[in-house]
Amino acid sequence: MYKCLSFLMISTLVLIGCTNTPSTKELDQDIAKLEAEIKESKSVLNDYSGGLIAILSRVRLQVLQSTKAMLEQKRIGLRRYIHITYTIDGNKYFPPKNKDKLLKEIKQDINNLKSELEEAKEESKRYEGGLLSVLSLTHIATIKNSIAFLEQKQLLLKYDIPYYAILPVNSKNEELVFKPTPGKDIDKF
Amino acid sequence: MKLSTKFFMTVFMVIIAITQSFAENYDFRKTKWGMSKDQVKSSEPLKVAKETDDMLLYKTTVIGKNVLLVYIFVNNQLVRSKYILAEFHTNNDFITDFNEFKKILVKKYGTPIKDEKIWRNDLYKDDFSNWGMAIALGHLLYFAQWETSNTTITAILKGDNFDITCGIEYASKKLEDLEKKAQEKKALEAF
Repeated sequence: MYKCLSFLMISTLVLIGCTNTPSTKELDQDIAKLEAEIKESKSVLNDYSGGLIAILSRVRLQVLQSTKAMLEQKRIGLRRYIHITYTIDGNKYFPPKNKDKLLKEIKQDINNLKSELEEAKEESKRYEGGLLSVLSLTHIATIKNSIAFLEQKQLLLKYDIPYYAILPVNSKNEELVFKPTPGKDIDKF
Repeated sequence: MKLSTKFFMTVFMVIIAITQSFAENYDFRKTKWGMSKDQVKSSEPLKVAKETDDMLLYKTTVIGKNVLLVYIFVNNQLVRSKYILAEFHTNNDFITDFNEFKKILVKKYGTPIKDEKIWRNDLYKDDFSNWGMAIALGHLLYFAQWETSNTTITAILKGDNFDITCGIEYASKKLEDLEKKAQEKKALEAF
């Protein structure tokens, strides 16, 4: 009896030791790509203290950072054998049935935007300053934002993370409430 | 009867005069120049949105518009304050907002001593529908100024690199030098 129990225990330990941690190679590659994009986005932000281009770059940076955070959560979950599930409005999230088709479509859209970005960059080289240069740089920043949004959608779909999950639970908007004060308006001037 | 009416009228006038002389004459909202940060804080019913050594920032509304309310201090003395419009527009609406600010300032302080539209670039001068764009690009700026015995009031609408600023600034005349000296000192410290 004792021998039998020892054998079972040893076998269990051997089997556990033989299991591999799930591969996160693809995830790591995607996170590395995002890190490179975040670095590039930060360097663009350093060139502008304010204005439309800075606002667009900040939006892009936020999108990239939130995508990276979601992928990192997934990676940690996989490595630590923590099964992450998402529940939206009380219902468990399941990836869409036409996931592969959607991924293909998004990839195509990203490729189209990337070629549009190259064209915009070429166009931008023609101007060294002035209004046309500013408009051209704004166009580039807008395309980059669209790519960041689509890539976010693509990566979340790829790793079965609902798009909904990136929304913060407690929106910071509460801090942005503008409240009136008592009294006549004219006394406030 | 006539005498008593005269007596009561005189008493009434005296009371009015005393009340007026004791009434607080504020420089901006419920504050006076030179007030400490704590005094300004207790004068505002709003929650402080941001605070630094020399600045207090609140979020409020005036004439139905969202504005940032900023108090600026030097050596813990209130020297300047301002309203900065915190609304987002895509067309000439900033000009409408500026004109509404100007209207209420005219009502309170009378005709401005300076009231100017400055064109740095004439590209959109003949096309009013694009004046909002002209402001955003820094081609056009609106400027009006008033003065009281203690305060210089400046309303401004300007832009640069598509970033438009519309605001009103109140500056103490008496403490102007104090702020200039502090700024000079700060600039020198940078070298």
